[in-house]
Parts: sequence; C-alpha cells; structure tokens
Amino acid sequence: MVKEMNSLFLSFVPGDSLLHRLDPRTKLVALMVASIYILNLSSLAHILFFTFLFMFLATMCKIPFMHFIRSVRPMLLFFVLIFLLQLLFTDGTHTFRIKWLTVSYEGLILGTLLVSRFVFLLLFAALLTATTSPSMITTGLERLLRPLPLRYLGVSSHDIAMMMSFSIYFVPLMYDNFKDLKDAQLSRGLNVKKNPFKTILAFSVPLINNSIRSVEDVSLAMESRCYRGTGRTSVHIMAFKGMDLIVLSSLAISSFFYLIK
Amino acid sequence: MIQLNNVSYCYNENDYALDSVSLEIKKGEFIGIAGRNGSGKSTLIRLINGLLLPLQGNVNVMGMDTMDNDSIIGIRKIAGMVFQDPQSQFIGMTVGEDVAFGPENLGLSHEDICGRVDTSLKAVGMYIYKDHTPRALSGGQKQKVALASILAMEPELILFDEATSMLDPVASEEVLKLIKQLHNKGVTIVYVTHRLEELIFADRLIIMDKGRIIHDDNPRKLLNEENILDSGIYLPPIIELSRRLCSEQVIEPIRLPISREELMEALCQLM
Repeated sequence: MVKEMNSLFLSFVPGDSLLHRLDPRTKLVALMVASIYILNLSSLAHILFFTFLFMFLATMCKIPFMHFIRSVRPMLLFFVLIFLLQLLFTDGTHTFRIKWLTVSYEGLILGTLLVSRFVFLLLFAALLTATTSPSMITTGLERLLRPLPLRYLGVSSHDIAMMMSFSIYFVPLMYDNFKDLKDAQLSRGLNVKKNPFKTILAFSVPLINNSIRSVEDVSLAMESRCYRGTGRTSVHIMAFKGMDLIVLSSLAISSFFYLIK
Repeated sequence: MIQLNNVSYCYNENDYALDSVSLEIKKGEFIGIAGRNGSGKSTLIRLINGLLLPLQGNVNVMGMDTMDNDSIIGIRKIAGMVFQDPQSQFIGMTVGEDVAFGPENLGLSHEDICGRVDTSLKAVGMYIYKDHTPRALSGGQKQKVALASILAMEPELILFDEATSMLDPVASEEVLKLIKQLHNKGVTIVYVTHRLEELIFADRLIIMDKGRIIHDDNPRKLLNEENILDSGIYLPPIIELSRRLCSEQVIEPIRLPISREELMEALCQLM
C-alpha cells in the first residue's frame, strides 16, 4: 500500500541530494519566484531554458524522470484541450492547412507557450514535493507566514499550515477509503460499466460521509491533545545554511535583472 | 483527583446519555467501566477530558472545572485520551511527527519534544518505527503509537475509550500489558470496554446502564453478585464457569476465581 501511495502524483521521495537538504523556506520562495517567471514565458528560448533548468535539477536530486511525468499525466487531457483551442481559434497572418483545418503559426506558438506554462508549473511543484516531506513544507510555510498580521483575519499561521497539512494527509486516507468502498460495493453486485451514474452515487455519497466522520474524529483527537492553533512549537528545526543563502541571493539577483529589463 | 457531581448530558433533547452521575476517582486507581452500547461509558470519559461539557452538574479534574475555558488545556494535559480507532487519531505524517503533535501544542522546546518522542516510543516498543508512516502499521502497532502520543504529554490520568476493541487477542494483550505497566508506575487509568475479562485486575469496576452507574465495586465482589447479568453485560466464559462451580459448591464461593490462572489453581486444589 505504501509503495502504491508513493507513486501518487506530487508525493515525497526521500533522498540526500542538495535539493533535499535545502531549507523548505528556500524551496518555497524559489518555487514562488519560478512560478512568476514561468507565467511570463514568452518565447521558445524561455521554454528551452526552463527545460534545461528542470532537467538539471531533476538529475541533481536523483529522482527518476518517470516520477515527474506521473505528476503531469493526470492533466494531459486538459493540456491537449487548451492547446487545440489556441491552435484552432487564434487568428494569424501565417497560416497552413492540415487536411481540412486551417491553423495559424501564431496559434501554434501560443498553444505551445500556454501548455508549457502549465507543464512547468506542475513540474517545478513536483520538484518541491518530491524533495521536501509534507510536514517540512507545512512547517516552512508556517514560518514564512508567521510575520504576516493574519490574526486580524481571525486565523493564525499555524491554522493555515495545519489546513494545508490536512489536505495532504487526507489524500491517502480518502484513497484507502475509496478502495474499501469499491470492494464493498463490488462485493454487493455493483456493475460499474452498466450504470455509471449509479456508480458515481454509490461511491461519492459514502465517501463524503466517511470523510466528514474522519474529519470529526481527527478534530476530537486534536482537541484532546491540547491543539489551540496558537503557541505551538515544532519538532522540526529550520535553519538557513550556506547553500540556502547562495540560492536566495541568486534568486534576488535574477529577480532584480528581470524587473529592470 | 476527579469528581463528577450530578452530571447529566444528552445528545438529543430529553434523551439522556448520562443521567445525574456522581463519581470520584482517586489518584493511582485503575477504574474499569463496562456496559452495553449506549449506556453512557464513552460520554462519561469524554466529559472528564472536556471534549463534552455537562448540561447539569460539574466535572472537576485536579481542582479544575471543565466548564472553565481557561482550565481546559490544563485538564487535557493531565487527562490524556486514547480512542477506539487508532487510525482516526493520527495527525502526523510519520510516527515520530504524530507523537510530537501533543508536546508541540504544549509549546515545548525542540530538545524536550525530541526527548519525549523518543522516550514514549521506546516505552511502547515502537521506536524503530519512528520514521514510518502510521498507515503502514498493523492495528496493534497503531494503537501503541496512539498510546505513545498520549504518553509524550506526560499525563497523570489516561482515559481509554474501547482502545482494544478493534485489535486481535494478541495485540489486545500487548496493549493491556502496557496499560498495566503504566498503572504500576502510578498513572491513573480509566478503561472503558465491553470485554469484562480485561477489567478483572481493576481496582474498581463500574457497570453502567441507561446513562447511570448501577454498580461500582471491586471486580471480584461485583462479578459474584446475583443480579450482575441484569445490567445487560456479557460475562466471560471463565467467570461464567467459576460462578457455576461456586453455585454448585464445587469450589469455595468465598473467593470467586476471575482469571484463567485462578480457576486452574482452584481446580488443581480440588484434585
């Protein structure tokens, strides 16, 4: 089961690479900066640059490429759809024909750029989750959010980190629940292929019901273990090291040149 | 240590899950609570932990009232609770992180948290699983981790809500052994279960029915009572046999054998 869940997309792959050893806050900031660059991709040269950058980082963290491909695969249909929409509905001066379809070069480039943005966003997010354990991500996020005056909004950085932690925590739990439900429904004669609508109902209603019950149980367990949302400390130590400073400095310099460009 | 004074609680209007219950638990006692489903056992211990607040009466833990919002963290620090389903109690991604959750909430330093995590995991024999995901553990191992999570908060009292009901006999026995060890170290135990055989070593056995305490006495004395079966509880075969042998005057009715070992000893003496 654990092996199965480890193959789920955006999961953590333990290791001892340089990326694994970086402080989670550095990686979170790097991902945020990279996301801004990625959303502004505007040429094929940029695509090439991010392709090489990703391949370099993925090779460095010694994680098989297949792991990252798995992160992108669930969104494949969406990518094909947005690419086709751009290809078919973008006007342009240079056109060519594929059988009965007339498409423009502009549409082709726009579709490629748009899909590349989504693909790179997912790949770099997968790089973060593959090299950082979920608890380190949430602790890092909590530390990053701590200086913000969130109390005026009625929440604390701990609350946000805990919510994020639970959204990660409940994915495998719901997966287990779904598998149990599937076995239970199939053993009682549910024909998945015969009536898809009935199948959706047979799975979704008990799944939602069980999830709500799980949340209730966990909240009771949290309460009984003195959770208040404030005044918490952490078992994880966060400490910037030399490499973190190098990465953050590089990001700051590149951002400076990017802004004055 | 704990005092419940005329405590009532209902989940639905006029349907009392707990009806004017008064109870005193002394420091270091092992209290066993049994009763049929819906008799109010779980409600009673949830009221002690402050997860539920009484509609009437009051619950006092070491001089702190559960109705007092400022005392609730102090009460939960003293009175830890282990639930029925170990899976539903996990909060951390790894065993170590889960055990650390309670000490983190208490605002302890990194060194103290790590120290408590290691000590409590070693105490339940789960230290080697510190970096494992809790989901991959067996039922008994999960319940041991749940117990370690409570031990890490160093409570003076532990409330067990049918903590072994989802475990096989071997795992139940292991968890019970740990609970007895804790009791021997001076931790007060309140243990709720359907299985009376798990409560024969308790200092006091409380039988509940329809939200009321109907028996509260020494287990040996209570299990020898004529009307014990009226409360809807199921007697373990060993005790049924012992009672039968006592009633038939085969063995002396003065000291009812309540465990397999005691019954074997009594029968050996006959031969």
